[in-house]
Amino acid sequence: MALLAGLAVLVCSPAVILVSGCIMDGDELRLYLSPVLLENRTSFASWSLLPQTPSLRSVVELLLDSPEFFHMFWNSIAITGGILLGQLLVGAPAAWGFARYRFPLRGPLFTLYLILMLMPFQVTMLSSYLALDRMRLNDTLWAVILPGAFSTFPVFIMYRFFRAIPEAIIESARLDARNAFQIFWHIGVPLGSAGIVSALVLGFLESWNLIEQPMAFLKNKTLWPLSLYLPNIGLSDAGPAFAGAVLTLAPAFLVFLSGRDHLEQGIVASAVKE
Amino acid sequence: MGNQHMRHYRAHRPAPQPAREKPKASLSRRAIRYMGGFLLLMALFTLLSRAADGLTIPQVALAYPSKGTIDRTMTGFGKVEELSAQAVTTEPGLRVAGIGVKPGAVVEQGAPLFTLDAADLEDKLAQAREMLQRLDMDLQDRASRESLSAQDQARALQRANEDYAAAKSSGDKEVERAAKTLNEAKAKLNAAAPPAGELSALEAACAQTAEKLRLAEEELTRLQNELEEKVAQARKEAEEAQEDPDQREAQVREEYQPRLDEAGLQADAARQEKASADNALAAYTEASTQLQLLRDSVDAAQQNYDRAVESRENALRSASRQVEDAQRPQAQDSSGKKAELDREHQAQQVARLEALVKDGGVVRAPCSGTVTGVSLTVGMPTPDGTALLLAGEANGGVFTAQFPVELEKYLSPGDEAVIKLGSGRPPIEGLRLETVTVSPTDSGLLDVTVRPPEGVLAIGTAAELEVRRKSEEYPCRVPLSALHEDNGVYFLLVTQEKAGLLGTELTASRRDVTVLEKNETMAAIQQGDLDWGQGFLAASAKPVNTGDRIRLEVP
Repeated sequence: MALLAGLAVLVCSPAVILVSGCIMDGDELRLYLSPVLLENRTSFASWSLLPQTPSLRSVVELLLDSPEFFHMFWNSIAITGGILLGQLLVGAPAAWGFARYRFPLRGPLFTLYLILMLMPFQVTMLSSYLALDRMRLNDTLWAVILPGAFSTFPVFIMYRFFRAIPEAIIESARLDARNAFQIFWHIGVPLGSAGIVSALVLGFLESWNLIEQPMAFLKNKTLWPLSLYLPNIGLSDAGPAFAGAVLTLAPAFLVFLSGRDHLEQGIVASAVKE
Repeated sequence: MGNQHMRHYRAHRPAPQPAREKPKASLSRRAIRYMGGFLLLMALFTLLSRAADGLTIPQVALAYPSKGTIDRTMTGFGKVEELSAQAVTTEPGLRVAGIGVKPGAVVEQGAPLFTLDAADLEDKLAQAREMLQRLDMDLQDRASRESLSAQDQARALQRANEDYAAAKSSGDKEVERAAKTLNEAKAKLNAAAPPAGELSALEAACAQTAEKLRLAEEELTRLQNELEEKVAQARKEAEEAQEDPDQREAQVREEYQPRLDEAGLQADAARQEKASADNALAAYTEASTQLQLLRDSVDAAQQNYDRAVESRENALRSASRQVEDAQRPQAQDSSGKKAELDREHQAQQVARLEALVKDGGVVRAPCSGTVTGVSLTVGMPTPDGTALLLAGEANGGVFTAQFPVELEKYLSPGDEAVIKLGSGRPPIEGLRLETVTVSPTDSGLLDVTVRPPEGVLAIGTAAELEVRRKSEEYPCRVPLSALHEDNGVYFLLVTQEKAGLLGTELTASRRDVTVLEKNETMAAIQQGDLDWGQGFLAASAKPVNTGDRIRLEVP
C-alpha cells in the first residue's frame, strides 16, 4: 500500500508541479529554472511545491494577454472534433463490418489494419505527405484531421465490442425486416456504445496531444494546435507556459473523467489481441 | 357548514407523498457539464483576450513622403542703430589748436570740426619733406649699387669663361704631346721585342745541352772507372798468373781506349754545344736589357700622358667651377621695394600735411551728420586713430537683430525678412538681409542687419526680425513627428508584415534614413531611403517601438 502510494505520488508529481508553477511568481520561477534554461548550465533545477510568493499574474497574462493561446486552443478543438467525428463516421461502420460480416479477404484486411495500427508516424509520414500534397491538402487542418479520422486503432477497439453482441439479437432484428443500416444503427450502436465511447476517449487523448503531424503538415502558424503553443520555453515565458500547460491539461482530464468507465473497458478490450 | 366540509376533507384527503429525492449526477455526467462550462469559459476568455489585445495594440496612421521645401522661419530681437558712424582721422602727433564741435552737434559736410596748430604743422611738414628727401637719396644709392653689382657679375662671368677656354686649350696641347711621345715609345718597343717564346727555346736548349754534357761526362767517368777496375783486376790476375801486370794493364787500356776516346769526343761535343747554347742565351739576355730600357721609356711616357690628362681635367674643373660661381644668381633682396613703399608712404604723408597747411590746419566734416564722439584735447597732439566720430542721418539707420550662432548656416544676405513692431503696428515687409556676422561682443550670437525704409523707424526702435528662408525643393519630406532618433541615427517606423499565430500581423519596423535638412515641423530625407510607395507611421495614440504590433487606422 505504501509502495502504491509512493508510486502514485511520483506519477502525480508532474501535474502538481504544473499547478504550483502556474501560481508562482516570475522571479521565483527564474530562481528555480535558471540553472536549466540558461545557456551556461551550472547546476540542476530546484523546485518548491508551495510557492513563496504566490501570484496569479501568469494566469492573468495567459487569459487576457495571449489571444494566440486561445486561437491555438480552438484549432485543437477543431482538429480533435474533426478527428473524432471522422472516426465515428468511418471507424464505427468499419468495425461493425469486420465484427458482424464475413466477406472475402476479411482476415488479411483486418491484419493489414493491425499492421497499420502498429506502425509509428515516422514510417508513414512521407507517404502521407505526398498523398496530402497531391490532394492539395497540405497546410490545411484536413491534413491532420483526415489521417486521424481514418485511424485504425478505434476500429480495433469498437470491433471487440461489436463482436460481443449476441448473434441472436441480430437475427431477431433481421426477422423484423430490418435492413443492415437499421440493425447497425438501432442495435449495434446502442449495444456497442461502450466501445464507441472508449474509442472516442482514447482518440481524444491522442489527437489532443498531436505534435508530429501538425509540425510536419502545417507550415501556417495560424493553424497550429495547442500542443505547439510554446515550442521554445525561456525564462521570460515560463509562467505563462505553466498556466498554459494546466489549461491544456484540463480538457483531457475532464474527458477522461467523463469516459473513465468506458475507457477501462476499452483498455481491457484492446489488450486482448485476436 | 364550511367547517364540516373542511373536517370531512381533512379526514378523507389522501396522505401526502414523500418528496422524491433527485438522483445524484454521476462523475461522468458532471465531468461533461464541467467540460461544457470549461469550453464556455474559454470562449469568454477568447473574446476578452482579443478585446484586450485590440486595446493594447496601438492604432497608427500611415503617411507618405511629400515633395516640397523645408521653409524655416527664424526670429530675433534687435533695434535700429545709426546708419553710419564715420570716424574722422587726421595725422597723429599734431597739436590741436582748437575744437569747434561738441558731441551731439549736427554738422554739414565740409564744416570745420577742429583746427591744428599752424607752426607745429609747418614743422611736421618740413620734417616729413626731409624724410622724403632722404628716402629718395637712399633709393638712388641703392639703384647705383645694384647697377655696379650687375656689371661686376657680368665681368666675372666673362673672365671665368675665358679662363676656361684657355685651360682647355693648354690642357689639350699637353695631352696631345704626351700621347705622341707615348706612341713613339710603344712603337720602338714593339719593333725591338723578340718573338715570343725565344727565351724559352734558348733556355730549353741550354738545359738540353747541359744534360747531354752531363750524360757524356758521366759516361766518360764511368768508362774511366771501369777501366781502372779492369786494370786493377787485370793486374791482379796477372800477378796471380805471374804475368806482367803492366803488359796486362796496357792490354786493358788498349781495349778501352777507343771507347774512352769516343766518350771523350762525345763529351767534348756536348761541351761545345752547351757553350753555344750558353752563348746564345747570353746574347739574348743582353738584348733583353735593351728591351727593358725601351719598356721603361714606354712607362715613363705613359706616366707623362696620365699626368697630362689629369692636369687638364683639374684645370678644366677649376675653370668650370669659376664659371658656375660667376653664373650663380644673386639672392633676392626686397629692401629696394620696401624703400620704395616707405618713400610712397612718406610722400602721402607729405601730401596730407601740405593739404592741411593749405587749408590753414582746419579739419572738416567728410559728411553731414551728428558728432557722437570727440577724442581730442586742445593743446595735446592728435591721437593715432579716431579723432572724432560722426554719425549718419538722424532717422533711418540700420536694424540689427541678434540670432543664435547655430542658425548661421540658415541665414545669408539676401534672405527675405520682416520687421514686426507689435503694438498693433503693421509689420515692415519686403526687406532683405544685408549682413550676417558673428557679434564682436558675444561669439554665441550673430548680428544680422537689414535696412528699413528711410523715415519709418527712429534710431533706437526695438522690434522683432523674422527671417523666412526657403530651401531647395526636396522630393522626400516627412513630418518631424514621424522621425525618431537613436544614438545620432534618424529612423522612421514602417510597417512590416509578419506571419504570426493569429495570422498576418503588422509590426513596426525600423528604417534608417539620412536627414538632409529639417525645420520645426518637417524633415527632408534622402531619396531612396524609403521604397517606392512605402508609407511610414505618422501618428499614433500610443507610443510605438520597433517590433511592436500595430493596427492601421481605416481612413
